[in-house]
Amino acid sequence: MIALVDVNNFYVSCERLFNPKLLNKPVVVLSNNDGCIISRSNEAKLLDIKMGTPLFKIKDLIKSSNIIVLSSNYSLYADISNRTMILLEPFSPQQEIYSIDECFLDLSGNRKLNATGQTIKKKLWQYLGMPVCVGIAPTKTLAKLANYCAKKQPEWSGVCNFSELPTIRIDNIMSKIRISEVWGVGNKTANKLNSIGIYSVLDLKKSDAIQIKNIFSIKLEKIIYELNKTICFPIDLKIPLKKQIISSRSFGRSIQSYDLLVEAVTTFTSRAAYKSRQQSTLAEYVSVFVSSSPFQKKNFYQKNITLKLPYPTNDTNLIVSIALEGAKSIYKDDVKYVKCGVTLSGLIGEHRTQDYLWPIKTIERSRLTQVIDTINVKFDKQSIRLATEPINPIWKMNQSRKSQSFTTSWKELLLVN
Amino acid sequence: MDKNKKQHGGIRNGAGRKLNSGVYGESTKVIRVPESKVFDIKKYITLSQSFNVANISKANNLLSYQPLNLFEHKVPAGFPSPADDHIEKKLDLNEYLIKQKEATFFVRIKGDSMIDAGIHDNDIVIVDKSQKASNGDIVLASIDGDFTVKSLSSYKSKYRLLAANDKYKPIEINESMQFEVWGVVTGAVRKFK
Repeated sequence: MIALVDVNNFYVSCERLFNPKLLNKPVVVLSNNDGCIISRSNEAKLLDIKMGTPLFKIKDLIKSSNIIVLSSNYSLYADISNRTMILLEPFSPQQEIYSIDECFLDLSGNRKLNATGQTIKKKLWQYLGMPVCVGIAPTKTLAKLANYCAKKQPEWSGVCNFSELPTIRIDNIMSKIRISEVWGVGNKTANKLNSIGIYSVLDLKKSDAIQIKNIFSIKLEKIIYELNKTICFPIDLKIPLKKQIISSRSFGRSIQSYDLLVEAVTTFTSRAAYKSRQQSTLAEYVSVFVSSSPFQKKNFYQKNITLKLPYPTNDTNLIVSIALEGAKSIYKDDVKYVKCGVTLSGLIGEHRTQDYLWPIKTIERSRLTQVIDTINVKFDKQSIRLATEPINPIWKMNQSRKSQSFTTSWKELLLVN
Repeated sequence: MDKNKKQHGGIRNGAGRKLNSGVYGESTKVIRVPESKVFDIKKYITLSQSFNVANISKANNLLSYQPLNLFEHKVPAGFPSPADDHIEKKLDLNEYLIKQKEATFFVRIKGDSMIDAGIHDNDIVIVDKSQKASNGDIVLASIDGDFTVKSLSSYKSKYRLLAANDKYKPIEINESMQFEVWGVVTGAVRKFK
């Protein structure tokens, strides 16, 4: 049996943990640069605010309904997420952390599934103030579906266990859920399935897997098997190495000077190189992209360039120098840039290179970066940085409504009388 | 072919890389390690080589700090220290102050309402959210959306929050209030310098 544990409205729940004034009120959290809505409290959902809505489109509703709007606070969310996953670990020998707010647990051999589900729910509420729902079923796809039921249908009181329901009952539930809610079925596929007469999850479950494979994909065939209780997606314990590392931001205001773009590219490249070192990988390519605002159709400019690094590396200095060459070649005067980013690709594990092919200098260089990394972890982020990397850039993101880093910064602890 | 073998090829004395000339300056050994630990082990090796700083994975941890050495006696050569045999472990304040790491949070105190309980202005208190509060515990509670640290007094399912300072009156909790005990205060930390 597989359980899917998922925190309800995760970002909003994290914000509520340190601000009880947000309880029972419509609250939304915005994406980076305060652009779109990416998390909603139940009260906000009732006001029909959809996921991904740009903030400016619902300005009036926000005023009229007193909706509380917050910038995203990822250092807080990441810390609460880690704590959540560590608390869930003891419930199963096998845990797959699927995203920041959900994980699969292998509950094979557990004979008190409902009770375990309730214990999980209670524990996370008591220990962390996180409201969770648990879906339990023989496969991951079904566990996702059970979790959907636990979330949407109050009669389960947060824990929906398919394994103890008769097939007729499950089929009945499935007949009322649209296929777009099935894990791995996107909107496009859903529309295409509708056109051949498959509307509900039950329709999909009863359809001919081989035929579906021929029309659609092997993945959809597997989903059908999974809906019929045959495991096709086993619990994945390995943390996959990222194939690319992207560091990009929208600017708080548009910039029009080469120097400022250099600052931004340096900052993003440093961040990407640091991430690459953290996961012990070396990059073969670095790409830089710049873009003006897509909302201004006139003179829209967008350009992307990919450069090969002289050898696979995660050394900040080297990658920055190459990335800046790229930035120089795609920079155009008279463009108002609103976004730029850096991607490292062709990532390989550090151990897969043959050190001695590179000049010994690189090894010394990488020791220097290690020292810098250590200092930056121990003291403040950016204590030591490249000179072109500003500490407080004027193009910094808008995050005007961000809460404190309550759990990760001594300076920002909750103050209490 | 076989004839030539005696004259050509084979070991030549003095050829190849010098002994102990690798990055580590000593002989190395191939071992099998779990894939998930490769990163940590590599970090450990490089760090212990370059210079002595707090373990990187510990530094990442928000509750991290460098444990004190209970004993450390280094002898360059000769007779080993008789104390070395008595090293037990390193003292870790986290271990002393924190019971349930994942449910523990730090909160800074403003004001003197708990001064008689030994909690001063600007102290950091340790709050364990996993513990259930009982009568007499110092708790972090929220009343109508505001946090406060006070002593919890319960009598016949009626709650009061008591300050530890005569200047402040007890707060009676009634049903019209939105009241929640957020966590139990299990300790306080103060720095003098």
